[in-house]
Amino acid sequence: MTSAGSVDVSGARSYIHQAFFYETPDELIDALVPFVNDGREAGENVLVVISKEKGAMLLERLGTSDGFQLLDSVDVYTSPTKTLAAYIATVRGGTNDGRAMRVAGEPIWTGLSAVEIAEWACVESACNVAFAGSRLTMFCPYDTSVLDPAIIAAARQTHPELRSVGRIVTSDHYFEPSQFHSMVRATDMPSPSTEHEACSIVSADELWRIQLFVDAFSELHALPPKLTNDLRAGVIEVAKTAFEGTAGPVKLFLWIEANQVFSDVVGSWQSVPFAGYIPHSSEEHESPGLWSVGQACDLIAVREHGAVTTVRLKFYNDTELVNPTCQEYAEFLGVYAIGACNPSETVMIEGHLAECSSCWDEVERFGSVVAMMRVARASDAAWPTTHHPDDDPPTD
Amino acid sequence: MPVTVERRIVDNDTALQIRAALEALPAPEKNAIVTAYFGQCTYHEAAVALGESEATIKSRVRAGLKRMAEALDDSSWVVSS
Repeated sequence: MTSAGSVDVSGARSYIHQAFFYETPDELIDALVPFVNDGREAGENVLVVISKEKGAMLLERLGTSDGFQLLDSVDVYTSPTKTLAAYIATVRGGTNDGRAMRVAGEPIWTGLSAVEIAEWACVESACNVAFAGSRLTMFCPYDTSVLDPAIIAAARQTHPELRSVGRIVTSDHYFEPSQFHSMVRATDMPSPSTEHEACSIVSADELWRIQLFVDAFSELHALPPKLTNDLRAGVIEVAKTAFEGTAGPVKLFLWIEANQVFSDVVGSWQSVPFAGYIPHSSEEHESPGLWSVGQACDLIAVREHGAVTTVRLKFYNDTELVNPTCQEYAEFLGVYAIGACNPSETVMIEGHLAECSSCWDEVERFGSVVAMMRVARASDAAWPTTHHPDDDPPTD
Repeated sequence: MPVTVERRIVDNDTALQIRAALEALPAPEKNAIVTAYFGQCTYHEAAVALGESEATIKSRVRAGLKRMAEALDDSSWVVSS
């Protein structure tokens, strides 16, 4: 045990992961100043990631920005899986010359959904796997004056050491990372928005239908090409992973909320531990895919209830998106009825028809007309199979 | 499958009914349906062929089909299939 104000990195332990509970910015700066100074004196790589305001306070107290790196939390804590990947790369780079490294990092906990808060806690827990054996000290500040008690409780479960002003203790509530992730996976996943689009596929041979479905969804919502590509690749990769563990069916839900696009892939399969968080290279893990998905989306969350697994992805769009209204779908009903839509539009409209009785009624009504037109088109006697509009006789 | 004389007559009758219903449409609606359906192309292609926007073709096909469905209801004609 060490005295408050300094962190022991000289001892036998190679990896330290400590939550620091503070109540005022001054308490945080009081702890960070020796954290940085000790690291610099020991010749370690030192990285501090905090808000711009707290960063300014720290610089003022230190009097210099030499010998350590200071980053704004806004730039680093972008998405759980991307941020962890960035830390893994940074720590690898910062310790590969045999030097030790110390990182102080404070995520942004405001404006997050319960699912997102749980996933950021998963990052803290996954660090204990990703950095086990590294010569790394991680110092994670938690402002107890503002943070939700659930966030503090999770910090006690994901950090082996807990520190507050004047004391450091071993956490009695600490869970092994695999246990913690299992606990998070057993928590509730809110249902998709009621305005979702859904499709179900029964085998991996039908993955092409998912592609059509995503493309039609993107077209209807006018999603930008990059987002469409990321969404399509992400959803297909998750579905592929699902079919490695299930005979099907696998359901896909897509929806938008404000400037966010969500997808849920739901099926009866078991996802690998830390999917999306830790790059799996060993043979026991079948899915390097979910790691790459985690790098392309803004959130990947796995929840397991009984035999049913849900993998949710979230993608941010630059601008606010709007769900197509029933009226917008209805504009397609005529061209849909005569089979003049492209395949992706057809998939999307059929998704809407399954849920909208008034549109369904209209298509059924057109059906009897189209049935007659089909006879006429096939009949060589009364109607040419090709007809140029310029040839039409004038109508009354 | 052999086409019976009776079947052929019914089909011809259907074709004439449809032709009559199409002829009764406003020209823009008829052109949109004829180009997309009888020309066997997508509405995107029909829009290019007719020099109209895709939205225009969509709304004309829909309006035309509605009108035809009403006309055929009135004539109490039943599709024989």
